Amino acid sequence: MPDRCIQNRFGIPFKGFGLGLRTPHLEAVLAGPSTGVDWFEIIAENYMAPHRWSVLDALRDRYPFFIHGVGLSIGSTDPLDEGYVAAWTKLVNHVNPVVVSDHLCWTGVAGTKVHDLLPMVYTPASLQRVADRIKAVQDRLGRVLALENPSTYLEWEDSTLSEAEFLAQLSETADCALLLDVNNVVVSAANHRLDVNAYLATLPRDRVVQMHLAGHQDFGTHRIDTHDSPIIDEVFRAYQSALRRFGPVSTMIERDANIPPLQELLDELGVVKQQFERIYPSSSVA
Amino acid sequence: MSETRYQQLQDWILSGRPPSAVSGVAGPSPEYAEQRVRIYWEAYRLRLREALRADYPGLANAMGEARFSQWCVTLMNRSPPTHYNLDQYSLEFGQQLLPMLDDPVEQEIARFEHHLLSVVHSAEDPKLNVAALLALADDERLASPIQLIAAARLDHYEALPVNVVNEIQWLWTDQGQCEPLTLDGVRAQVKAEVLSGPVLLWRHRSQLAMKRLSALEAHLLGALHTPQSLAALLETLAANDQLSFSTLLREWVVGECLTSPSPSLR
Repeated sequence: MPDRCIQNRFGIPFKGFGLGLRTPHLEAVLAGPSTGVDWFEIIAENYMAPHRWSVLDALRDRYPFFIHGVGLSIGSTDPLDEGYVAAWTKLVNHVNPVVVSDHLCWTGVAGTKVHDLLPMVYTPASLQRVADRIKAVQDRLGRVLALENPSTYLEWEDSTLSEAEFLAQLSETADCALLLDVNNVVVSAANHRLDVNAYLATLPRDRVVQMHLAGHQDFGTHRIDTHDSPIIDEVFRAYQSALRRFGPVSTMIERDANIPPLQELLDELGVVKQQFERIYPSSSVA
Repeated sequence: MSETRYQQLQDWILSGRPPSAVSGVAGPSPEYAEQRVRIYWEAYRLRLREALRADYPGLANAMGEARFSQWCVTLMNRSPPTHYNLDQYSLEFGQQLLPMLDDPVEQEIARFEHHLLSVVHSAEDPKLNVAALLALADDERLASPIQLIAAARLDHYEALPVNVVNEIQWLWTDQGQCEPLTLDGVRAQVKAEVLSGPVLLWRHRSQLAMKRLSALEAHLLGALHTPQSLAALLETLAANDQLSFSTLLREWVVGECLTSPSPSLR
C-alpha cells in the first residue's frame, strides 16, 4: 500500500488532472461552462505580452493555471535574459499559478536562441552554476521554481553525474521543486540505455510537484519526444511507479502536434485518472 | 568546459550542412554521435520552418512550399533567432523577406501578414500596436470595416452577387488553394472543409479576401470588430495611447464576434 502521507516539502497541493491549453481548443474552453478538466497549463511564452492576458482573465475564475516555460534557458552559460525573467515575473504575478516550471536545459549561447531544449554537461561545476541561477530566478519570482527533466538525444563525455543524480543534487542545492515528465524519462532511458525505475529512485521523494504525460515516436535507433500521439503503456507503467514513489501529484497530458478534438484528450485524461486511482483510490486523496 | 561544448553543439545545429566530425558526444562510434547531433540539427530547421509557415500561410501558398522553405532556410542560415519568442522571429523574417520579393502579389500578402503579426504577436508590448494597424490598413481598407466572422457559413456567400463571389480569394487558407473560386467552388470548399472556425474577411480592391484565424487570434482581433469604419477606429486608438488591448477587449468583444458581411462589402 503506498504511503498516502507523502507530500512535497513546498506544500503545493494535489490539484487533480489537467491539460495544456492549446489554441485549437481555446474556443471550446472559452465557451464553457466546464470542460471537466481540473486545471490548465499555459506555455509562458505565449502569454508574456500583457495584451494576451484577456484570455487568461476570461478563464481564471473557472480554472487554476500552471505556468510552464520553454525559454528560461537555466542551463545556459549566457547571463540570465533579464527581459525574459521580468516578463515572466509579471505574468506569474498576474496569474498566481499553482506551479511555475521550466526545463533543465539550455536553449542557446552567445545571444542566439535555438528554440530547443538542449542537453547539459552534468558536472559539479555546472550544477553550482545552475543552482545559483535558479536561486536568482526564485528570488525574482518570489516563489519556488519547478525544473523538468528533459528528453535528451545525446550525452556529453564530460559529464560525471547522471541526469537523475544531477537533478537530485541540484534540487537540494537550489532548494527548488521538480516537474517529473514521465514520458521524458522513458524516452531518455531508451536513448541512453538507462533503467527507468533506477532513474525515479534517484530523485528525492519530496520535491516532485507536478507530472507530465505524453506520447512519443520510436524510430528504432532512437526515440523522439514528439507529443503527437497518445500515451503508450510503457509510459503508464512508469507513471504508476512514479506515483508510488512521489505520492499523489497533479498530472497532465501534453499534446503539441496532431492535436485531436478536445473530447479525445478528455477521454485520454479519463484513462490517466483510472491509472492514478489504481494507486490512490479516489477516497484516499483529499 | 560546458561553454565550449554548448557553443560547439550550437555551431553544429546552425551550420548549413548536417554535422560531421562531431566530438565530445558519448557513444560507441563517430557515426552514432553524428546521428544524435543530427536529431537536433533537423529539429531546429523543422521547428522554425513550421513556425514561419504557420505565421505566413498565405505567402507560403503563393510562393509554393518548396520556394517558401528555401527562403526559410536562407534566412535561418543568415540570421538565427535571438529572441526567446518565436513570434518575434516571424516578425524579423517578414522584415527581411519583404525587400527581396519581386512579385507584387507576394509583396502584398507578405506585407499584410507581417503587419497582422505585429498587431497580434508583439512579444512584450502591453498595448495594441496602432502603428501596425495603420500600416495594415491602406487607404482603401480604411474606408470599409474589417469583418470578423466567428463561423463562416455558406449563406454568407450566397447573399453576395455572383460576380463578387467569383472574386473571393482564399489567400490565407492552408489548403494550397489560391485560384479565384466560383460559387460552386465555394460550396465544394465549404462542404469539404466544414468552415466552423473564425475568419477575417475584407475587401481588397475588386476582390474579397479572407484569412482563417485561430481561436486565439480571433479572440485578440475581436477588438477590431466595431460598427465604425476602420478609419474611425484607428483614429480613436491613435488619440488614446493609454488604451490597452485588454481594455479594448472588454469594451468591444463581449458577444460581438458573430456578424455577416455588411452592405458596404457588396
